[in-house]
Amino acid sequence: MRAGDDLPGRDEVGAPPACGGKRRRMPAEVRPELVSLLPADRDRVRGLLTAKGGHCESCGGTDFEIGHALYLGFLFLDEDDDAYMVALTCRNLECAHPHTAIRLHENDFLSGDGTLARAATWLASAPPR
Amino acid sequence: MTTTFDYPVWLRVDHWLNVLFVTLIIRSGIEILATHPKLYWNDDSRPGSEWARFTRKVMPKNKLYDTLDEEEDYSPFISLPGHAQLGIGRHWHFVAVIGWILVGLSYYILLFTTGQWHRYWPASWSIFPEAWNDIVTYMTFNLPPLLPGEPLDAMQKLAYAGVIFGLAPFQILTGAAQSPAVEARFPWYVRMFGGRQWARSLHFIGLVAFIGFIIIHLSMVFFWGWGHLTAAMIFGSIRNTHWATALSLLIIAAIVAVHVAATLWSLRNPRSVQRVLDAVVAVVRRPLLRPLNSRQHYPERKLTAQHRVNGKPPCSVEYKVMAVHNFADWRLRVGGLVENPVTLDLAGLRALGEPEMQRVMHNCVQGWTSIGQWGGLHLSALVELVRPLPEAKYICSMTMQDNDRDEPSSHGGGQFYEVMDLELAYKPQTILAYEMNGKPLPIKHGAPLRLRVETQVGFKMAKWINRIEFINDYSGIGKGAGGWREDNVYYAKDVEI
Repeated sequence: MRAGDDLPGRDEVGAPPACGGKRRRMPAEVRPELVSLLPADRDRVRGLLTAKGGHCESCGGTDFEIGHALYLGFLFLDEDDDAYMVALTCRNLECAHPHTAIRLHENDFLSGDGTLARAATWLASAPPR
Repeated sequence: MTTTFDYPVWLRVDHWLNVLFVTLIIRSGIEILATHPKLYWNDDSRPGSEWARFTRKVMPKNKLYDTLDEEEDYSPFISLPGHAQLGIGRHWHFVAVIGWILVGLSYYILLFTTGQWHRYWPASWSIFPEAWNDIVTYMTFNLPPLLPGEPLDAMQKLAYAGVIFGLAPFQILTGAAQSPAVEARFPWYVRMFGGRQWARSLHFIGLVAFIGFIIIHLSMVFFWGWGHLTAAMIFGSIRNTHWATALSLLIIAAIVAVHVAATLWSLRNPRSVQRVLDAVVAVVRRPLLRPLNSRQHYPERKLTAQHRVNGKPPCSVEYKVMAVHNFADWRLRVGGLVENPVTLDLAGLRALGEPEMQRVMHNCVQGWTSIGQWGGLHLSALVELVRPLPEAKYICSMTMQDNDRDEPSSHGGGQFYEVMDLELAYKPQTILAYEMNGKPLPIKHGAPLRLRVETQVGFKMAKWINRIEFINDYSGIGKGAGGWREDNVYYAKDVEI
């Protein structure tokens, strides 16, 4: 993990959820910029988490469900060209802020050349053709 | 010898007022062009498809850039006020247009009621070959003969007719076609010109034609005799030519002084210019354009492949983590002067009503356009849920974007917000959009929630919204002008044009 890539708790934005419960419902559709990871990619992420001592800032848990990845390099000015964020959800059912993430370089976890993963961000607004 | 040109006093006054307003319009128009110095023949404003560009900037391919990055900073010598002050340039343009139209109306009315229109209207087709002969004569550095009993040669008469009866109305019509309210209510009108970017391009060509006319007109006056012709346009007849020369230079100096004063006022006290000029424009804008409702529904094939963007996504870690979790933790807080404040997540917002879908043209204040399909909740449904108190007059949309951090090309910093009149919430096609082109709203277009108010210019449609407040006064928010761009770039709060 790079400096500043620790795992912040996630619920400071917004008031308590209207829908209630500790596990929030996911919106029906997954947004177009998000990329599904292959099992091998997830294993590499998990390995990096273990190697770097990644833990949940909210509850200290170390068991995460690894979710989608988002290519940051195109969308955000402050990010390196090959920067990604990978969604992590703390598996501790008692965790108050289970949603967190890890910032990684493309070569650290992604199989292949990453072209499709990157394209997802700039093609997100393309109409159906 | 005294030749009576019979220029009535009203025509002479209108002529000099016309010089003032046209020059103000040209300089402020160049300021508006500077903010997106590219012209297109397609309504997508597709990067690289411009037929004319007045910038050398090269945009990056590996990073999201927006149209603020493409803005140019022109000198006050050619633009009013210069230095990339689009908001102030717009105020001057619209005020000068109002003045010019009023002068034009008085000119037309008097021209036709006094019979003076014969002076400029070509009465016979034979004028065209005569005008061609005149051009050939001018090209051999000679002066052609005047038309019998008239003070103009055939070429001059045709040129005046073209400007008075063709070019001037054309500029007004193509200018009106660039108003988002006009475009939203009368899409057929804009199509008449070939589309919104055709109207903008034609408007620019009209500008070039006007500049060309002015240069030739001044050359003609110079070659035919400055003293004689300015005497005609000052005294009504050719007499006291030395006095006429002096007075003409004095009038031109006065017009230049107005330009200098307007420029200095704009650069030194833009807030005052914003308040004063927008108060004038609002007198015309509100009754004419506010009643217009959007009736757009472009066919799917017209959707822009790469809808342009303005503004960059929030760079905060919080935002990025929310995004990678599909905005499951995003909340919209709605409060202020309401009976029923609420906090909603995306699912809760979606559940408030059937999604509305609209295929519409986005009219950026900078002049570019793109066509997109937006889906979301009609804003009136949210208004009905929270029940505004009777004193609530405005809706303030607050966003997660911090311009200090997120937008290096912006003119200022701080949290982005926009205020709009509550009445706009009930307009057709005013929605809180959470979808674009059939997919969840992309990050670069404002995910997870943005406004669409189709009769307004694009900057009013705040992106990355996380809070909505109902208020009765916005003077205490930001710098008190009614929005981030109103605060920092001096735009008008109401932008139907």
